[in-house]
Amino acid sequence: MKSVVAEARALHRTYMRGDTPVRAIRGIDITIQAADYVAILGPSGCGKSTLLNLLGGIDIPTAGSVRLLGHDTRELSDRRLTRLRLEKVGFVFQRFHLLPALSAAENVELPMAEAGLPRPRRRARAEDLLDYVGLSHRVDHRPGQLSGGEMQRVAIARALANKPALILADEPTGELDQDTGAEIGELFLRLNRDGTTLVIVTHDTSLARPATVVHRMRDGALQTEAKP
Amino acid sequence: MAQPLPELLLENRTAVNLEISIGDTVWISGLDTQERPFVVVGTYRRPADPSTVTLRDYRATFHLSDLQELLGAGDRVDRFSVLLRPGASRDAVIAEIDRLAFGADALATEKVAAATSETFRVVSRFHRALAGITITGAAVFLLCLVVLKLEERRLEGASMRDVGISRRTLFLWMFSETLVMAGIGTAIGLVLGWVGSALINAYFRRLYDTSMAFARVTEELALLVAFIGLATGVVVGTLAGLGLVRSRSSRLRQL
Repeated sequence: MKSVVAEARALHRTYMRGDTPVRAIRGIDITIQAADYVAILGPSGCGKSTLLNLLGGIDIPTAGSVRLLGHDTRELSDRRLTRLRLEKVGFVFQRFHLLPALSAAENVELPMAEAGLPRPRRRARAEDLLDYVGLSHRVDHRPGQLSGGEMQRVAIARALANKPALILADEPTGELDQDTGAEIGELFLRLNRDGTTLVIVTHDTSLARPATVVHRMRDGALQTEAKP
Repeated sequence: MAQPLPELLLENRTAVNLEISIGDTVWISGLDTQERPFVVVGTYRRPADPSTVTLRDYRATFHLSDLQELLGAGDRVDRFSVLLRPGASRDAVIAEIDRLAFGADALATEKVAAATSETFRVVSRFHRALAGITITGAAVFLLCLVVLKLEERRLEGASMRDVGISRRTLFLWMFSETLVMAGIGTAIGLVLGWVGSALINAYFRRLYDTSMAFARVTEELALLVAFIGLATGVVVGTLAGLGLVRSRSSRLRQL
């Protein structure tokens, strides 16, 4: 039986926009198992990113609970939650969010440096990861010198830096053209086949096609769950 | 046998402007006396005195007896300086002159300097006020730069928080960057100060033919500037660092 990586129960998240409460997540239950490839589809503003933030311990639920690798995120201090994200969760963002002053390798090294890995080991691992995502020839290039697809590959390599149990990707192909998006999709598929647990929030149905679990969201609730 | 001519010294600028060389004979008269010949035995630079540096008059230095004769005003002296031998008691000399020369007022060099430099003290206070305004302006400028940088960095900071970078690391990142900016700004300011003072001195020394220093960046001043620059960097860096890490990451991303 596969182990549970993340689990949400009766999850609610309400924001205040001025004096108006906005119920972004309304009573979601979801389980992410090891080696799953989970795709969450839905229109803009339906709460997909909020759900991802809650699952990754970036945000804390208003009600209900998220257990991330056995830890209830509400019970962890900010410091421990940050450390848990650093060591066990990888994030991939729509706009890459690489540090422009650092090279590709240095961006990948950043989470490893924070985790305390010695410089020679983290450099070697960064080079291995960049090789894995097909960027061995762009190790010392800065983000400004890379294409959108290459930047997203660097971001994926960074997400893999500390050998995470779970990778959360928020619209990872949203800034890319169709061909480049398809290449990133293949990379995610390869990651999953190599044993990485993936949760991808996307509009892009081609990214959802190879998923082992597909969720559709509308108005803060999961409407369907299907295993193709 | 002919009497040797009386000697005089000419101020350098006087000699250059009148095209007179050492060894030349010059004829000089007083207002009511006849012309008399003097031989130029040397030239000298005018003392570096800010109260006289802008004066364009011609100057010569005579032996006291020759000067009295030239002016036809024997036994009449407005001022004279006394150079003491090493070890001589200045106070004793002042007291002796006051005793011997009725009506004379002997003053120590510092008193004369203080009496003639009051204007420059006022100017110096103005300079300090200007320096204070400049430093305040520079600190505000640094703060504005950092605030702009902070706005740029909010998203980066939020993303770093998301991927697990600690608040401490983010704080140190922003703090050290600000401190480096302040350090570089201070260093550039000091270099500009040194270069600027060298250029100002070169220009005015040439203009007034003096060895006077018109602008100086002393070691003490440089240390003060470095201290103020780095202290400003520490304060602004701390504020910027706290600004970046204060909020939760997801909150930061919404800003």
